[in-house]
Amino acid sequence: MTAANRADATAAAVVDSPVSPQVLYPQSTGLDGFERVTAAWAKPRPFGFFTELNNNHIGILYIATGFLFFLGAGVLALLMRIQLAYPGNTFLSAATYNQFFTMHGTVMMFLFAVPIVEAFAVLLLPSMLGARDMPFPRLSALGYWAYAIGGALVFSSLFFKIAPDGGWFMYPPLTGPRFSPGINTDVWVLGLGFVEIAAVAAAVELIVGILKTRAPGMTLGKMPIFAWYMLVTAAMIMIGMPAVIAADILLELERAFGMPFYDAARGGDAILWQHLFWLFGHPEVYIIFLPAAGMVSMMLPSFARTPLVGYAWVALAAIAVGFLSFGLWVHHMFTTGLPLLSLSFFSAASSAIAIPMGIQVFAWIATLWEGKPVLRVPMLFILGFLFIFTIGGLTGVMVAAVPYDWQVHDTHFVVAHFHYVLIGGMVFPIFAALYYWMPVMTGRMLSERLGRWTFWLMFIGFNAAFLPMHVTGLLGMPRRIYTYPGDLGWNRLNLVTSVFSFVFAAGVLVFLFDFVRHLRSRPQTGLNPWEAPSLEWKAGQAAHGFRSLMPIFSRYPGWEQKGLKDDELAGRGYLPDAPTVEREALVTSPITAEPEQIMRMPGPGWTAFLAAVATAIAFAAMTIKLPAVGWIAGFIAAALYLYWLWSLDPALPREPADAGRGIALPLYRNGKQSVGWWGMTVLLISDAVVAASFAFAYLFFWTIRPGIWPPDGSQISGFREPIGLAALIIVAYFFFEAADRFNQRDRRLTATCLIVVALAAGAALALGWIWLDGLGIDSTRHAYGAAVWTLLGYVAVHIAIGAAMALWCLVRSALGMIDPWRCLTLRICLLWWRFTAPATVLTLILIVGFPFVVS
Amino acid sequence: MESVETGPPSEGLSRLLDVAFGFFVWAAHFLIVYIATALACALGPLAASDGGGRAALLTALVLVTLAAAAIVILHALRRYRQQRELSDHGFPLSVTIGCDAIALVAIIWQLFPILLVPACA
Repeated sequence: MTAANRADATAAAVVDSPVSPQVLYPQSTGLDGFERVTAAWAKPRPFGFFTELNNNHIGILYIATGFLFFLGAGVLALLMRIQLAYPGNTFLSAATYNQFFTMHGTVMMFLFAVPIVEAFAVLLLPSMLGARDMPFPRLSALGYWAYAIGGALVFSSLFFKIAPDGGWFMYPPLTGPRFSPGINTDVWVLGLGFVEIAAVAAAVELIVGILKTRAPGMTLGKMPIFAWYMLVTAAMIMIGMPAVIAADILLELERAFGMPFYDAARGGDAILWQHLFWLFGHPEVYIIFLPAAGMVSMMLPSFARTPLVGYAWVALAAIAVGFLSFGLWVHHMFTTGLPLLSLSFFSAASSAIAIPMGIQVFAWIATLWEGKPVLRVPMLFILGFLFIFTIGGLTGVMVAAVPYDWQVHDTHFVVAHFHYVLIGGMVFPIFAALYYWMPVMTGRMLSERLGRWTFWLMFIGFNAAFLPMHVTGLLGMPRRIYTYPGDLGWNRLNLVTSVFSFVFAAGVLVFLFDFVRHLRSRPQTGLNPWEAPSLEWKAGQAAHGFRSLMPIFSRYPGWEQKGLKDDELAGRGYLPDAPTVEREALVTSPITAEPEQIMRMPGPGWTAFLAAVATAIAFAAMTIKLPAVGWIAGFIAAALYLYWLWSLDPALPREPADAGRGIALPLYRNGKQSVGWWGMTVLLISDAVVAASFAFAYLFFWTIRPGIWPPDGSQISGFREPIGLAALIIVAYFFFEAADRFNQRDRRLTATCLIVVALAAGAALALGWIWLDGLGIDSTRHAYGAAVWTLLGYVAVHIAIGAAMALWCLVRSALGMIDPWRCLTLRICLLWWRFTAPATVLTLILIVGFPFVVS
Repeated sequence: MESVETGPPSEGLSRLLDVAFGFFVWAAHFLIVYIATALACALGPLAASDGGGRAALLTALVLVTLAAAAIVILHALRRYRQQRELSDHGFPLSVTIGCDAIALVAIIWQLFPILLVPACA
């Protein structure tokens, strides 16, 4: 039985279910059905720019915005290279230079590299997966607008001379309140914290989209390799970003409230920041590289005219890199005085990651070997990527050796190394992707001739600028100095680097000229100018992507599924119609991609845009010390989010609806098969990482001063209150479970259970506050107190949200919006309690039981 | 009233994550050896100890490493026996065993520092 037949057979079983006596909303394969699909997905006017949620619209905006930030950060780099061209230059002041190098790194990493790879995924993945959109389009739109507005605010700080100036990794104590009393650091912490949350939102979207909205029949082994890469990348973002968000929270708590997490004089330790930052920062390199590698793996078959060699090997290499990259973070900390054996573990892990990296490179070379490569502009950039990235990898192996790293740490050698890795491993593939997928975005090809100019200018400019920089570093030039004396032997090397950085920039300029020109003068290319095998080339530029969703049973459907486009256009796939003129998509199972549900998608609206604007204003106002404005904007944002949440989980008929191809599917799922359940589960994994980061901070402080733990006057005596607190939370949790059970039989008991949950949670908050206040632990006197308050505060926020969820469900239940069938809201809130209850108990054990044990 | 979901059985998170089982073992092993070393050296019992204490730590780390390696090998063998006859499982089986293999190398690789670098130096 083929995958397509199996998918149909399984879905047919849904129709045969005794709960499905009739089929709603028959689908038409005729022109009328097509017209309804087009109408449902049409871009709204006149404010479609702000209100449209479709991935084609958001994806292109995302890419364009990311590229603008790339240009902005690039200009900063050029200005810095002018400053460093000659010794003793006074083009930039030291303070301005500090802001420029900080913003260059920050913008490139947080506002260009991560967002643009997510942007490509948002644009391309739905059609690559044979779907119509991502599962949470409003979340995509919120993520985009939060990123665009938050990023613009952070970047604009440069014009007011309040830009961050502590380096892109913002090490305390330099960035602490003592040495950075201005708001420059707050701009970084709050502004980028906001952007990081947007990145996490996009990652949730990508994970659930890849697992739950693939075309029927597209098993995990059949999905495009880019989807594997993005699945791993999004999972890495979900684990890595929360660590730096936690570090940001601790730094802001220190700066705003004097809680001394990084202040050694009061029991803190600046090394904690380095651990948390690099726990994110090193995987960040692979978060950037893996999507680029995924794009390369998609493009190579098109130009080699042959399938990717070793698909399964490449997929497993992506998984391996995703995991192993989290075992490397200390290799950024080789000079911090950690025990030699500890450093060696990370040095060994740094070498081990060469295995999966090697698998990928050999798979690409084998693909070229196997096929008949055509040397078009994207291929040039791919070859440039292989050349440059390999050199970056080699110098990476050098700095992974502890003694070598001690020699070159914080010199221009390291600057040269990571530019080889990042520009080679990410910027060149992104340019290849821009040339390759431009017809998907604009319907037109960029110029082949100008593309070659772009490539050679960038390639020569890059290598001539950064290769000498290795020598500059070996000669001892430290990074982050705004000028240097003329008698150290660095002059000529710096001049060469500066001159060729402008050659590199000239290549980017040619690209921009080509882009503007092609919009007007280049002809339309048609659907698949590269004769590529993947599905995005079948989708066209229409917002709905596909007229109907075809079953997919090949990794290269464009080459191997004959007549696919004709069948799709003729409506012979799933959902060829939009009977209610609403946007619909197909939900499939995560492994075998069997159809499970017809999902109604949200249409265009202002909520996401306005919520992002209000939240950005709230963050910005708090940063520049305008609390009144901040609170007002915060309340407006909260109101918008509540309005949004209220509109979720709408009433839908119980009867299955026609899905096309002679099968029917439910319009609603209330458990593990729903995308909402998956979204919440993935989000809670990130939440757990934040909690774990705070717990790590608490334990870290203990390891550095074990003899005085807890410090004098901070001992917690007695277990009565903590046990009572834990008991209340466990009661609340069990009553939430009971509410879900009773919801199937007796709604009055459900309401009673939810009231008990809210009361127990409220009582726990009150008891916790009285207990903690009575302990007299000062959060500003010692890092121990700061860690205790932070851990308990984080738990308290969860309990408060859990109580609010209970009341939310109570109101919805009273209004008839929760019943035995329509109960997804209840079950998603239950997931929250399934996390909050054990997290609370573990936190209490850590705070109360741990000191008792170690003392 | 009926709330039981219809359709195919759920393909849960655990089934998805089983593919990467080897790397979860690798992560656990990595954290155990790193934290054990950090605690033993930072908290004092080994910092001032004679050679015997340090040798005991290294022996414990070797045993933990071998145990982790054995778990990964057993997982790979079990999945191979369970899935080799199933025609649909070629890809998941390859990736599962491949992940186990790379994780095994990464775990064994940690023996080099354990055997070559002195503890608490």
